[in-house]
Amino acid sequence: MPQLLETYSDESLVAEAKAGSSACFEELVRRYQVRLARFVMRSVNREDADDVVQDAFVQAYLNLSRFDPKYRFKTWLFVIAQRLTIDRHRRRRVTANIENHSLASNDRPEHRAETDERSAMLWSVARRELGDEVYRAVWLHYVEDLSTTEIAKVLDRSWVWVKTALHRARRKLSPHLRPLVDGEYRKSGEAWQTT
Amino acid sequence: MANDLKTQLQREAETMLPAFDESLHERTMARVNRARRENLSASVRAPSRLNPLLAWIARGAVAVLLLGVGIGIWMGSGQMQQDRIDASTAAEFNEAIASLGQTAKPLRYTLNVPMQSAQRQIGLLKEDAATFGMFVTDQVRNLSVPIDTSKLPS
Repeated sequence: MPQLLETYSDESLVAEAKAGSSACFEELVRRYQVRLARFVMRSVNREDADDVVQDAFVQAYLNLSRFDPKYRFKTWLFVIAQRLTIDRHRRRRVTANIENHSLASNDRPEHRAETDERSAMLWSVARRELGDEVYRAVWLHYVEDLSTTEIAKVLDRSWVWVKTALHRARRKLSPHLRPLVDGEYRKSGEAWQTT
Repeated sequence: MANDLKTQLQREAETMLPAFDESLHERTMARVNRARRENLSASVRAPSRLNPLLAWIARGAVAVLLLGVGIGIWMGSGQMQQDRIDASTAAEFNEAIASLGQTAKPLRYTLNVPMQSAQRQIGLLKEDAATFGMFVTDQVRNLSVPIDTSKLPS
């Protein structure tokens, strides 16, 4: 059965899950857990990211009946995750103000992102040169393959804003492109210079 | 150039994706299943969940009903206001009662007594008159509010 489910489209899995199949919903969780975690970990610490991922799937499950099939399930899921992340951020800020609590430097999302991006130089440049929201837009566009309209929905921005953000991001990142050598990019450090 | 950028970003992103976390998956599914059970028990408690259209129709019907009740109360109160006896009728009634010399049940009508109530009391007065054999006086006979005096001893 699980092997069979892997071949299902998101739409079919959603339809089956709506009809009560928990196995189909589990397959959706399996499919998007890592991607959602990576998207969320950009803004919150590991512990919160796990919570947000779980919350996002629970919210998605509870609201499956309200899911509009004219959108992609992935887009809907990212919208939920984005809102939960913002919510978590707000609460974190309030808690931090009350308790004067600071995260250990190793657990800070920026620190972790830097560690992750050591092997991903272009993303490292993106992190340094683009704002958080533009970075997210670029991530959703190039990694999650979301259209500008879908990104606008996830980030709660206008379609024009997303278009402009992606254009500016491309202009900033293009000078940092690594040259192609025999169809492969050179390893970082070999012919890689960032300013 | 755009394609190069896309390819490089995608290749680098692959190295950034965390490994599949089996424990997170299990915890997520445990929470989903718990939510499903809670949802199921909630739906057992409230089996008839109206669809949105029916819910709006029901809300509309309740609103119309409340509006109707409100209008009814308002009109009824207006009607009652109209049906109260005026000062001259009250005086007339009181004079008629006094003329009967009834002391057992002293009735006094005041301004704004509802007409219906006054008529009921006049009816009681007639019954009392018949019971106690009181005589009908001119004041009673000539009341502007018509009463049946045929059963009263003249």
